[in-house]
Amino acid sequence: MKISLSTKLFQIMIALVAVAVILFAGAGIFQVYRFAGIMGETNREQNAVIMDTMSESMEEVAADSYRKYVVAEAKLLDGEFWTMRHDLEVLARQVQEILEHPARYTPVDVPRPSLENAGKLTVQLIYSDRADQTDRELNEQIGRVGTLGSTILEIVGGSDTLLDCMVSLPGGATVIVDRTPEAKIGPNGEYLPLNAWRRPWYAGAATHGEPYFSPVNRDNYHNTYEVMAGVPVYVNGELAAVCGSSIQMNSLEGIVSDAQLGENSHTCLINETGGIIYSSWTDGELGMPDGGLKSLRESSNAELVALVNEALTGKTGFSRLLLNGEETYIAYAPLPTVGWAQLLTVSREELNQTALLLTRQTDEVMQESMEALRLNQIDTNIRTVLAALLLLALAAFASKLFANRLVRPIKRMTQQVSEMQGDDVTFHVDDILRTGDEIEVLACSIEEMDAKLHRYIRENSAMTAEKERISTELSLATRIQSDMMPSVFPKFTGAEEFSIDALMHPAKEVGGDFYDFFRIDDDHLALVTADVSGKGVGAALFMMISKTLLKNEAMHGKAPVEVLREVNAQLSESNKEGMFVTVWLGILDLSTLKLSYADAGHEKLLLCHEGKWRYIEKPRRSAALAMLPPDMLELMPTPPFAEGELQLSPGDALLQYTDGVTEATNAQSELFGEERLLDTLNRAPSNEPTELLPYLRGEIDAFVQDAEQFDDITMLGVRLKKQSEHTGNETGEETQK
Amino acid sequence: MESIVVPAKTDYLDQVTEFVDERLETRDCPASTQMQVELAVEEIFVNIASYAYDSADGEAEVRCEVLEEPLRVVIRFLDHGKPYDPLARAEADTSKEGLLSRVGGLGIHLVKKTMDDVQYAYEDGKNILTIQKRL
Amino acid sequence: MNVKLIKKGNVGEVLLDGRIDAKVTPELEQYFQKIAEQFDKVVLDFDGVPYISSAGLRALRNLYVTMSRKGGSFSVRNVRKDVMDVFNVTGFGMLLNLGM
Repeated sequence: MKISLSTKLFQIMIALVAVAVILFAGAGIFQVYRFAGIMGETNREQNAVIMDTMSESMEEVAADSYRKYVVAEAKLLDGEFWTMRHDLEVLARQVQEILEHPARYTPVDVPRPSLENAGKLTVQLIYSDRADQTDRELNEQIGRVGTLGSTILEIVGGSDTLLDCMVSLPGGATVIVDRTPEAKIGPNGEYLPLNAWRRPWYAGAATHGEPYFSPVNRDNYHNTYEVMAGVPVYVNGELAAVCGSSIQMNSLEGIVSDAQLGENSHTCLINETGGIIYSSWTDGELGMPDGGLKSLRESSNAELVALVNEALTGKTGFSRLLLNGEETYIAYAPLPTVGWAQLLTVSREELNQTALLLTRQTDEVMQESMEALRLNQIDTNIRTVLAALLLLALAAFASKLFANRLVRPIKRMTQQVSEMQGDDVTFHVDDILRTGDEIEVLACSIEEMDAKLHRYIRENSAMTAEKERISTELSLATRIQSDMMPSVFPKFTGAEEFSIDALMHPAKEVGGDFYDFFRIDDDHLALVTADVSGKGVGAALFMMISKTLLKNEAMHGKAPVEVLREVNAQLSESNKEGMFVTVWLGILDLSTLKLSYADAGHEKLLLCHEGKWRYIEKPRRSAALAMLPPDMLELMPTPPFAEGELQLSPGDALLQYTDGVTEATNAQSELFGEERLLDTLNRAPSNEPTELLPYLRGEIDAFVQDAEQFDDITMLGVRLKKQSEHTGNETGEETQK
Repeated sequence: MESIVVPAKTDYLDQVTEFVDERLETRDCPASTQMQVELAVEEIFVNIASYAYDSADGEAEVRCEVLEEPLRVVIRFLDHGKPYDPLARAEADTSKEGLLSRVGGLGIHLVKKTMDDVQYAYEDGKNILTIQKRL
Repeated sequence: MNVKLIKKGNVGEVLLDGRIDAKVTPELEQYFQKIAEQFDKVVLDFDGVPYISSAGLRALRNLYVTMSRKGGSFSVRNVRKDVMDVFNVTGFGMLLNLGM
């Protein structure tokens, strides 16, 4: 056995499993990688989206808070101005009250500025340079206004931002409260005038007839910026006084700068003409120049100009533009009291920082998760590979086991079959073989076969025994048959007028040919050769019947053709098998040497006259005995048997035979044939039957060689002795009847 | 063995002959042997058609097989008509009338003389005639 | 099955063409009867006959009997080998003295 079935099965199963496992594992690993790739991409995409979204929302949030800041701060700032105006309005009303009802109020003395009060908050009287300082009415007015001195002191004293507060009379006198009386005294100790009517706050208030904030102006004395406000007082429709106050911008700065948030955010306060009042920018487009106010309306930054215009319309808003070339957010809110606007700038970066922080954190988390995923993926793959290996190992084991299981019954069967001998039933379908599949079927078949084999062998033995018995019987039959045919010796020897020899060699154990010769009476010799259709036992039996019938009829002394006719009728009667027999019957008159003969479908007679053999042609075609159907015979006037007569001479010889002679075939399928027969006879050394027949037989054998004998071979030879050959006749033994 | 079943009428003789011829032709059968077989088939079939069922309808089955060693054709005719052994010849009746009235005499004679073997049996209510001829 | 009749005085020659089997025989028999009435001598030419069965033989036999009875004669010629074999087996050949 080259490769056992078990191994083959194992190999096949393992191969299948391996392929399947590899496919699945491979697919799995591939999928994991693909998934990881997709995940990574998705992560990155998500990240980007989140970043964008977050930054947008962060921007929103930040923007929102900035807006709120600026609004709050603007309000805060604006509050200061409002308070200022409010205070002035209250003062104005008080002034108006005094000036409308002078009788109610007793004038007080209002001192002139004095160096002693330097730095202290004091009430002072300052004349304009046009004023008539001696005017009694004016001084009374001043005195009456002076009663408000404590009020005004409170106004200024209670504020962190007001520099001063004053009431200016058109007559040219101002009652002022501030902390710098020393500024009112000139280098020579003279009182410096204050021409209030020239001042914007006075002029503006007087012109507009309502509270008026003056644009920011530079305080030459203090080198600061200040804002002044004036509120007019009317008595009887005429301007009676203007209350005024000023705020120094520096002190506002504190508030403004408080509004700053972070390093990259700045505040900027702009006035009603777009000029920068204050800016935390030290340089750039919103930076405050050293020299003075910068008007943003003149900026080259168009967007900035637009924004400034927007802001100065009193709107609150938020815009993104390029400031100093950088993306910047600017929030603005109005200071309605003064008509100003506060700007809060913050760079995009600043705004985004928070967002960035958050996204960075998110990103970190993403990265972490991706890393975790990657590790997981490697893990999964390792696990897959391990699982695959395990599976393969299991499969190998299981396959081996299964293969063995499958093959076991086959092995068992093989073992059992090798023990089968046939002499007994040894193959049994035991439990191993009851597999419930084709193997069991096979086992059962083999079991059956074993039984059959056993039976056949038994039968065969019986049959062989039977055959041997038949063979023995047939040999017996052969002997009987051959005994039936007359043999030459003891019957006809020596002292006869003729010599006879005959032979019949059957093709099988028993034959269908026969010959016969017998004396009908002392004078007549009957000669018969016949060939029954077929061979074997059937032919032999028919032959026996025919032979008997022929002899019977011949013995009645009938003419040959009569004999044939009669035998034909009898044979035709009960011939179920349809056998027939060709016959040549000759009756030799020993005294006249006349031969009369009849032929029923048989071979031509051979005659040797004066040493030369020749065929005696048949007078007509003839039919074999029992050949024709009765209804045909009916129609024929006479049965179709040929008859003839021959006159013989002493020394003549006759030969009759059956077609086994002429139809003897050699290995080249050549027939012996009539010509060759004639030829052979004419070459024969002798026509003495006892020599001629064996010679002829020998020639036939030589011709046929190893080829099988198909048909029975029969020969009958007769020779009429010459006078000279008669032995023992002289003494007259011949005619004793 | 292949077989056909046809009504027992002479109209169907051609079909039966064709059936047998087909099997013979596959074996390169000599023309005269084929003719003898055709003849035997005709004789037997016509016999059945004419006499097996009298005037009633009936069927005939013909089976044909070519066997080896020796190469021969075996043909079997089956009918369920009245039992009749065509091989039997009335032994006693040798009168002219008897001879002439026996049906199918010539036909069966032909069959017996040309076929190598002819067998008759009556089984399961059927006449079974089997002929064999060496090819 | 075709027949062609050639009259030659009181001899009727019938050229037969085709198989003579059980199917054509009834018609053929009727035809033979007519022929037998017409002629004293009937010659059947079998050149075109490749096959004959017992039914055909019966027709031939009846024709033979008819001709014999009226003292006429009946013969066949140009018989093909296969048909000849059938004639021999049934003795027809001998009946008609068909050569050796």
